[in-house]
Amino acid sequence: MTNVYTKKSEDTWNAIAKSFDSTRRKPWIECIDFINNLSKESLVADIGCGNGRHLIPCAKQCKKVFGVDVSEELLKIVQKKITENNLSNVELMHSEAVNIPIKDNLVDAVLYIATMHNIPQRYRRLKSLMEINRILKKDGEAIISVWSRWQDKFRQHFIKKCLTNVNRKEFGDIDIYWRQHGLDISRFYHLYSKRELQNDIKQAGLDLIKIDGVKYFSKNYFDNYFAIVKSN
Amino acid sequence: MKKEMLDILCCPTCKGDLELEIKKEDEGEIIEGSFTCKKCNCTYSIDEGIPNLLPK
Repeated sequence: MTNVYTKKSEDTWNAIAKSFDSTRRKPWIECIDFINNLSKESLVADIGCGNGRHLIPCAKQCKKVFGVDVSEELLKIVQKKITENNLSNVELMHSEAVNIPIKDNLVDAVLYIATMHNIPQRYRRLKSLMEINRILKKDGEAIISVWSRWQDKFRQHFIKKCLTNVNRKEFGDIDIYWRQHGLDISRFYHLYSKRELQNDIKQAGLDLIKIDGVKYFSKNYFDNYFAIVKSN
Repeated sequence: MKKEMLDILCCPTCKGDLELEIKKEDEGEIIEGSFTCKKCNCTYSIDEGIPNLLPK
C-alpha cells in the first residue's frame, strides 16, 4: 500500500493542481541559469516537476528530460504543455522523490526545485537526497531549492515555536494553506535553515558546490535557498 | 511512454529491473500496459501513457 504521507501529498496536489498551475507560470531565474549551463547532450531528471515550469525550458535545451511527480493531475497539465510545445524528448512518471524509479548512474543532472520541503519526516527527505545521488552519474550536478524557515512571513511563527514545546512535529514543520480560487487546503511544509540544508546534503553523500539565499517576497530575510550539489 | 524507457526505469522500492507488458500501443507510444518487477514481483500500471511507479 502506498505510504500514508505519499497518499496525503498526492491528494493535496491533485486538489490544487489547476489553481497552482495558473499562479506558477514563470520559471525561476536560478534554475534557468542552471539549465542553460547544461550540455545539449544531457539527460535530466526533474524530481517534483509540478506543472512543468522548469521541465519545458529544460526539454528545449537538453537531449532528454524525465519528469517525476506525485500528482497525476499535475502530470496531466505537463502532458498538455509537452504536446503544445511539440516536444518529443520528455517522459513522465507518476512516482515520488523518496523512491525514484530511475536506474543508478543514469542522469547528468537533476532539478529538485521546491519539492523537498513538502516531504514529511527528516529520514524521508534525507532518503530523497540519497536517491538523487544514486541516479546521478559520477560528477553529475543537481540544483535543489527549498523555502527558508526564517523568512519574514514565517519568522514570528518559528520564534514562538522555539519558545514553546514543539512536541511530535519536527522543528521547521508547518501547515501552509492554499487559499486561492475558492480552495482552502492545507499543505505540509518543512522550512529549512541554511545549516540544516547543508547538513542534510552532506549526510546524503552529496558534495555541496554552493548555496545561496534569495529574496523573492521577503524584504529582510531570505525566503528561498538554492543549492548546487555534485554526486560522487 | 516509449518502449526504450525499459532501459531507464526500475522498481521504485527494490530497484530491480522491470518487465513490460503492452496492452495498447499507438505510433511507438505505449498507452496502456504494465510493469512487473523481476526481483520483488510488484506490478505497476501504465495509464494514458504515464507509468504509475508509486511504491506499492
